[in-house]
Amino acid sequence: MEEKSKAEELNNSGYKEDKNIGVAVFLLLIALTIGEFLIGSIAEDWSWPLWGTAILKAALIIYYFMHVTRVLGSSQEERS
Amino acid sequence: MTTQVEAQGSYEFKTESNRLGLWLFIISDAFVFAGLLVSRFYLFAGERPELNQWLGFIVTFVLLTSSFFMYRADIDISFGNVKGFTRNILVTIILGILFLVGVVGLEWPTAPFSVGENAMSSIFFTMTGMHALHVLSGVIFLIIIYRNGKKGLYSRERHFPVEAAAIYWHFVDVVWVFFYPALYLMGRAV
Repeated sequence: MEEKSKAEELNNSGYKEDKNIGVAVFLLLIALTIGEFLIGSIAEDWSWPLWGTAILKAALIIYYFMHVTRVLGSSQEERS
Repeated sequence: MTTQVEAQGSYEFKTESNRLGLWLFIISDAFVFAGLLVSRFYLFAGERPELNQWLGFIVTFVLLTSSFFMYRADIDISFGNVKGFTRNILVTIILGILFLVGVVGLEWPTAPFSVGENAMSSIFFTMTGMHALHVLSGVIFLIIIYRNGKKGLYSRERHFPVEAAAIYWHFVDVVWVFFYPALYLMGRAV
């Protein structure tokens, strides 16, 4: 009973949303990595698309996983 | 005056200062890896070592997955879900060890050159070795976090060490995001 109410509380507080963002970003990262792998296998001299993909992947990780905005913002962004 | 002193002693203030310090460390560490990346292209632009493509892809997949579980652990502790946090940290540790096994245990012995054989081998082992060292220190960091989490030292309100471990782990992932195409995909295999 207590565990059930705790789970409900978590779902109502944005917990599920944050987890879903993680899943979406992870799937995107995997898709981009497969794209990179295919580009690398097909063309040897296509370095610019590979650079672009790497920068996009890094940006996704830094923004969503590393929460770079926390360091730029104040403690107001902190969950209390 | 007293209020300002109290504010500076608060956990929130310390967290903000620590977070800033951590990011400054991350930026300075990034320059080391950027230097290695520049060296790789300076020494053999348009060429790459003949490495196991599938192994490169698999270790990249493993590291990205570990970052995903680290993210989940970070979210879990942010919402006070200690059980989920310890479970996800444990998965991250296992995946980190798997990555090390893939690079150091499988890729290194099968590489088409030995350490110090030529410029290409030097830069390959320096890049992967430096990165593996960071992964290893990250795994040690995560083991400490896991043990502390088990002891109940972190809560929804106080968990900066977990955030720090997560940022460090994701940084190691970001480095590999650039190293993977630079070593395995860009240029003609020689």
